[in-house]
Amino acid sequence: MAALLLAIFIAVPFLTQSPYFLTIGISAMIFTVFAMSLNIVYGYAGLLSLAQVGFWGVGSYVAALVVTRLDGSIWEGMLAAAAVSAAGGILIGAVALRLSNHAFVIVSLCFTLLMQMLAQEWIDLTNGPMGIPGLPAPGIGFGETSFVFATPTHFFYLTLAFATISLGVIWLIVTSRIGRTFRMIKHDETLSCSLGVRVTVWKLFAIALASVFAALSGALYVFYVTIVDPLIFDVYYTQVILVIVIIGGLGSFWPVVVSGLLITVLPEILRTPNELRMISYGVILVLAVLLMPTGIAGLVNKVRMRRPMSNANAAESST
Amino acid sequence: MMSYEFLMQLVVNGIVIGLIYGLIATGLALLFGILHIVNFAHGEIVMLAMYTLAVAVPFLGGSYIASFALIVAAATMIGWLVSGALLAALSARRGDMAAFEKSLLLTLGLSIILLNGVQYIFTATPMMVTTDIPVGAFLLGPVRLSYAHAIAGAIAVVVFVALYVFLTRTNSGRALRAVAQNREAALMIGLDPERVARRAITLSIVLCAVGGMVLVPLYVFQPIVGQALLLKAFAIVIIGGMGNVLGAALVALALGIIESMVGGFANIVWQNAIAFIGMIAVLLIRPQGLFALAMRKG
Amino acid sequence: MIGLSNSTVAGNLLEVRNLRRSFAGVHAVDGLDLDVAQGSITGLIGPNGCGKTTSVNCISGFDRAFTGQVDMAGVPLAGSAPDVIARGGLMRTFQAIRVFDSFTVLENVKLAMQSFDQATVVQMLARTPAFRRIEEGTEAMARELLELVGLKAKANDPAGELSYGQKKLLSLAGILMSKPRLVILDEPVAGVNPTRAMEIAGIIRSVQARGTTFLIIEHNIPFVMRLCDSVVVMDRGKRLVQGTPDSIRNDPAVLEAYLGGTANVDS
Repeated sequence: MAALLLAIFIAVPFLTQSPYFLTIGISAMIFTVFAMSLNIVYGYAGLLSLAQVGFWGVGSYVAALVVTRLDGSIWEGMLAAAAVSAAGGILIGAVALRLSNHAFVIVSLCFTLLMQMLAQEWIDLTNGPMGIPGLPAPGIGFGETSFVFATPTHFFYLTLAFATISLGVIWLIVTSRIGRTFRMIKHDETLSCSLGVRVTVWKLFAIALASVFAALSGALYVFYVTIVDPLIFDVYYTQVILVIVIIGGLGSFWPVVVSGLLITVLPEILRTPNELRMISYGVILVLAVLLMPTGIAGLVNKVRMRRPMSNANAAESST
Repeated sequence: MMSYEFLMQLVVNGIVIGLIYGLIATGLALLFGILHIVNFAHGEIVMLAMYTLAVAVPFLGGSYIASFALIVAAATMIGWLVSGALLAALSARRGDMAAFEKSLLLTLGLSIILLNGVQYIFTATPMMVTTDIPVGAFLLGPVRLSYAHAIAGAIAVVVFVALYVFLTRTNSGRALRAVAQNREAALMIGLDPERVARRAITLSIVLCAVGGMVLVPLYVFQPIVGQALLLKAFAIVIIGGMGNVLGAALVALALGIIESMVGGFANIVWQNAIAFIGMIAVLLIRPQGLFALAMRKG
Repeated sequence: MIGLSNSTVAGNLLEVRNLRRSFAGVHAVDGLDLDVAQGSITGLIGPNGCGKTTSVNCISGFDRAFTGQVDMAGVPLAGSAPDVIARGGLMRTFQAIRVFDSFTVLENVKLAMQSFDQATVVQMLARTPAFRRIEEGTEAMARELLELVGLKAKANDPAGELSYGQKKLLSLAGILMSKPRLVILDEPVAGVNPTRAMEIAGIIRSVQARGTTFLIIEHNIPFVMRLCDSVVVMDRGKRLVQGTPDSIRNDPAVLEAYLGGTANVDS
């Protein structure tokens, strides 16, 4: 699966030089990583977080500010973005989880809305609604031998590398014992606790991990579109990643990757106006929750169950 | 220097805003307290009521009160229908999503549909509604209270008194409180949970609609207005103790006054951050909320 | 009045003193004292609503809003979080049966060991040979325990598909993984047929023989009387009496409080 997807994506720029298609590919990859960050905290650990967009936005602002104000490189910016978001995530989680998982949902939403307000109104820092335009293209190397990812093709491969590494790391984590611990907690916190699992610590770890990948994908995204403004906190993004994760199947890996690529590519190709696209995402979300809350992963499992199950690992490998 | 008069003016404005927050937040607290669900479209319902009023007022010859009454009636009817649909959706057994999670995702989807639907029809251009409420103000000593603010405050007070009487003096109101306090016991004494739930949802929607309509004469608004109000309503509900209606009303009033003061003396950023800061502080110091009777976990 | 058993002689693993817990003014546990002798099987019985499960929740840290003293092997537990207590060697089951439905039976047992081996995060991610050896050891132990509780044939089935009684056996196997010093079972045979109850009693005895101490809450009096070395009778939130099954059987105060004096405890 992994090799096939990677091969297809490596081939894309050889098949088309059209910036339009490359753009779609770039945003599909970024949003897939972004959605996977929600999947870590919500799908695996069972904590519905609406702060993912908050971290994605905070990450993009931090990276942009490091580059424009502190003269750092984009990589330093992304590092700072990851660090700030992880710390923020742990802070918010530690506070909200004192009450309940329900409170966490609400606090996470409020965090995102507040960050948006800050971006709009803390003009000295964020430049307000105007945003920070003219973000430079990312580059690597020192002095003479530097290389700048200036063309869409270059940026496409940069994003491909980012997505491959990020998804690889996430895969490694969610299929390890840590992922199993997340699923234990999601399934039954009380039972996990009685078996000695440090429930709060692992929840905070999931939140921190998810905020890191949200921040990194947000940072890369704004350097691609070359501007960051308060719209980066738009609820539209929450909507998109929720739809991706639910359609893919909460707590599944490959189905969410597939759903991420499909759901970001489709509306681009359909070219609907903004409001109608948002409405259609809303309708999809409602229908998905009502009709197929287990997503693609659920369908795949159903098909598997119908066949005589001889392979005990079948369920394992699909999750 | 800030004068005493200025301070009093801020307090009066704050009380009016606090009362309006109260209308919106008590609806949310009611839903959480009785059904243990959350409504992310709460703000959009407020917004929808504002736009409906904006459309209705010209049709009814500019009459604010007539439009108001009409929309309250409509909200009650729609609320009753919506409540039935929502309960059916929540009780459907598919997958293993809990009711809270399902309510959250469904209403989030709904909020996006409503927000963008309204934005598509009316555009994001700020909307101003001219009603038959005269321009002018009562003078309470040095403090000005505009007619629009006075009407908003009066309506809110009337609604709160009615809500209080309903919850404490009528059988249906007592049934709501009984379910909120102890669901199992309430079911054992034969209360019909579906009926109670539908009443709670309807009541919550009507409160939202009223909250939205009293805002119309006070502010210029955009479709996005619901989002900011939702943030505050959530903060109020957490500060007051999730599901505690009286707590929510009191916190709302306090928040209105504090915000007004902060707005008078400091940057607008701080005004909007107050609710969030308060929420974090309460979660740190007294996570069950200021007015919680018992710890609610899970 | 209190018939002290041989527990004081053997040394107590668990000592509870003056445990109190009230809900909205109602005293659910009202000054409970409790001794569980090292290596014993101690039964905790009492009429419905006398505070047994609340006491267990307090002892195991799931309910921390209590006052009083809880010591295990001389270490105070009061105030500790439930996962800390579990890692300290006190494991419990729940009255409402809890297993991880979406994991297989074998995985359920292995999961119970996760917080007890010394694997580091790096090992978990890198899946080093050392880590794999730990996992293999865990798996071998899990299969052994499944054999002990008679669920070996079901090892690869999803736990959600087990019957009620089988789930009870599974959760018992799970908590035995980490070789706890004290196991608290909350109604291990409630709703279970007599044959299975016998089976469970046999398992408990064989685990006791390896040095594990048990505290068992149960309504099934014959089961408790046959299995336990020491029995605590609770009434209205306190210990009415503690002693050997024989001494309890003939205690008039127990008959009075527990059965209203109308029936034989051994019925």
